[in-house]
Amino acid sequence: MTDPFRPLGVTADKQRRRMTIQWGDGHTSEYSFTLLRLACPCAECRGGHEKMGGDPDPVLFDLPEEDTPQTRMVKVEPVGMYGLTMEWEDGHHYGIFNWSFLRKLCPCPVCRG
Amino acid sequence: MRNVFRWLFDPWVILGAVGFGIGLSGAALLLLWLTRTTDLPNAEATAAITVIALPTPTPVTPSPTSPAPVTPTVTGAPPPAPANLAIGAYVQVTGTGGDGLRLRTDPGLDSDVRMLGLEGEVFVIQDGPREADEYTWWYLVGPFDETRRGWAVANYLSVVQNP
Repeated sequence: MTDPFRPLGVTADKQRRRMTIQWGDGHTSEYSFTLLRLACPCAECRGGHEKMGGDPDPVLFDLPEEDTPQTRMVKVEPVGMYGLTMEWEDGHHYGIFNWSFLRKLCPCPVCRG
Repeated sequence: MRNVFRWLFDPWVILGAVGFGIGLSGAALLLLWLTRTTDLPNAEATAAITVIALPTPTPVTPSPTSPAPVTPTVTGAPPPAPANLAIGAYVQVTGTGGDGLRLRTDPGLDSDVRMLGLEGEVFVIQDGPREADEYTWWYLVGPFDETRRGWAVANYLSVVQNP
């Protein structure tokens, strides 16, 4: 059974400023670094613990890309089998992106409906 | 009139019907076997992560290396409980060797197991500490799925950076 939330591979391309995830159901998601930073689910970026979780804000997908220390990814690491955490050039490294959230964050036309 | 149905009781007719039934059943079983779907074993490994670096070289400052200290380990004993656990802290299940951590309905080894926290899974501490059965227990809740909750021993928890 193909699991849409099971990632097969993650590639972070600092040259293109894109992170790509290959999913178990054959789908491929490509995220701009800007989108990932804007969608950070941590309490600091969301404005409090009570606002964590939930689906990505649709307005994020319409915001322009930026090349700033806030959107330059330094590294990306797995958090167990739970998801990913990223560190940014401005030092921010608190967001934990679980696989379900990342799949919902896919900006491709198919996923955005 | 009786001769019309007599052929039904002919041994050869009965034998032929039974043989046809067996052949039909065998064909159906063969078809099911050929069209079966094989479930792939659930891979436990996390996805491989590849990072494509920027083309400009990054200067690397060599750091002095020293032999890693040898830490004596006691086979079978649980790891020591971390001292920095507190309500509101985000913790990760660690040190279970992939077995996971039992989350129970109450503090104590005799209380019912609600579910298993997976190795690497992140929770937030919402209550505790409680002492029971010579362990310190904390009440954990999943940050994105509040149905994942229960009391767990501190020995298999490590604090993660506050998300």
